[in-house]
Amino acid sequence: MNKPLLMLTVAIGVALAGLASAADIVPVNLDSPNEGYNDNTAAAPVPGNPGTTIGAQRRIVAQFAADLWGSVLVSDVPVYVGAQFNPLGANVLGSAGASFIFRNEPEFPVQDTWYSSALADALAGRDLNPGFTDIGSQFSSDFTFYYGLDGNTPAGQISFLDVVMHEFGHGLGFQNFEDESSGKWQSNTPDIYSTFVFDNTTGLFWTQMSNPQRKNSAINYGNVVFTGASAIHGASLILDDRTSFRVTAPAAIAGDYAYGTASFGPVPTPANFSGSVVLGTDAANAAGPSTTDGCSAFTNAGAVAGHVAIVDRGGCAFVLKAANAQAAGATALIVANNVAGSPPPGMGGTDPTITIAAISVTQPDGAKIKGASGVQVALQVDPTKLQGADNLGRPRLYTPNPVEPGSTGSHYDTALAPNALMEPAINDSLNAALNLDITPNLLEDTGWHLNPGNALIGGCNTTIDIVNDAGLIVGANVQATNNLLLRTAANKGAYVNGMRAYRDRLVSAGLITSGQGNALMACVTKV
Amino acid sequence: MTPRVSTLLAGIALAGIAAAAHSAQTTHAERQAAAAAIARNKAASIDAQPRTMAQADATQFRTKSGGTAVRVPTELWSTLGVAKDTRGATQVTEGDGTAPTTVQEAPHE
Repeated sequence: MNKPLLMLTVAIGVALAGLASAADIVPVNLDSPNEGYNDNTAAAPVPGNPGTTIGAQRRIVAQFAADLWGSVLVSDVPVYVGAQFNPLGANVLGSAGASFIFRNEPEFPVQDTWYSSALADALAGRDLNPGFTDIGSQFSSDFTFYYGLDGNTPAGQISFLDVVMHEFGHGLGFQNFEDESSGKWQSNTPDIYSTFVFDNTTGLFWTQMSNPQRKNSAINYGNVVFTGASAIHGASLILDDRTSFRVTAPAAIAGDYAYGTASFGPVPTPANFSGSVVLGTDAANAAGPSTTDGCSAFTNAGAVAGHVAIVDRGGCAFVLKAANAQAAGATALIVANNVAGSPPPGMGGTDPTITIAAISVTQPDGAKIKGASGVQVALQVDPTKLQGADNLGRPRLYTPNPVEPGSTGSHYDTALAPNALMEPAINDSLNAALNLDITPNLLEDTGWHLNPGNALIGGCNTTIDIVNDAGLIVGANVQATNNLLLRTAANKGAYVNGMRAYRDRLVSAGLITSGQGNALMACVTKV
Repeated sequence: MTPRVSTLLAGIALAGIAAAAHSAQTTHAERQAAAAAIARNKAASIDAQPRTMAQADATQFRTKSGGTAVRVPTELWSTLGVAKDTRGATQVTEGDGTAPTTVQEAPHE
């Protein structure tokens, strides 16, 4: 190519990159007066959220989430999100998903494949279904969320922002369109997400499988992964080294076993979890109906002391089993599941007096361990492999057995560490205001373009990355916070003071440099 | 094609792309007006989503550009559930859009 033409080609590329705009994600308030997003009940402002009614606080969180995702993703077509609060019944927080899916638009990189509405519009460069939402979302009006935007969710509460960011993630394309209980695609057409879903046992992608094969793969826990290049790259940046639960003797059952963790006691590590295994026995009584459920004081404390105890699930709280094992002198605890299925259950509960580590294993694995003699176990860290990924570094997807329709396949596995936003359970370790981990990476693999630039305030460059390869979205947070203060500050002085205090918090937390802080304030003063 | 002609065509293409991209942008007021119109449209409400995959099949339609679309059934949406253990600690789980929510991480037996 001649030099002038080459230069112009480069110029076009640069211009195109510059023209690509952050997505405008627009919450569509579908609530009636005085309910849901319009609830006029007075509320005291909470950190980061100046709303003075419940409805105002809800709207502020929804808009903040929209601004975060909108900053991260690139689209010239607005994304409309139907947003509604409803009484949804006991124990239901809300639901969300794409409103429409599209196939065979000429701009789609893969034909005969469903794309979620928001992504479909972005790829086509036009609204494919004007007058309708791209995403639907509804949340429970019966539940008290934490509406703060500071990432410091009080214990026992749930961050509405984390929930909204998670559900918007589904609506934007972190979702398949398949009934995993039958293996059937919606309208007999695969979706773009599933073209990256691979089963390590069969060596097949989900799009290569028959319906029965896909049904079986959907419950092949631990062996289904996402193969997109960006997700794999992101996983290599953020996932911890893999910690395996290994039976080292006897040889007949030696190997690595899946395990679940507990919300109480110390984190299991190679230092606190190793040794020979002894079955803990106790009385069958009102505390627990079997002699191996660990629900009352151990009757074989002398044998258990100094070893790893194993007991069966059932009869009483996990923390009580741990307390009894600890009182018997056990160095650690294994709880064997009492029902079939994978993964091994997470063990809830809190007890600050528990000082031994506890893990759970599946029912058949527990039977193997209990049925063998001379069992030695250990936790081992392998720095060459990633926690929650396969041996090729591909992040695992959630495929529990039995299947959980609507949850199976469309989440990262609960084995990922640190916890990811798109795991099937929201937990306290998340902070979606600043960290989307490898969620944007996966969306990029499905066709989204991620904003490659810096946070802009009124067109002024703050030099702060919108999103990096590891899913940190400090720049997106800057833009969302700026938008929030512009909307809610009483006057320019209050806006500038609010942004200055915000800048100071970011610098203090080490999220931006002092130089970036100066650039940020230089932009703020120009507004 | 001579380099000069190529350069000229590339320049025209760049101008066209810029114009097209600009026209694709919408103003804040336009987006808010569109949102208000959607909110008034009963056919766009969440209640209008089909519940099952079979019902969704019946919503299939052709787009102006020749593609095909389907309205997503709510049974393919994710539903967030919550439960509390005996100490009041919150447990959040996710299931499908139709079945009763189950507790994934049982706080006790």
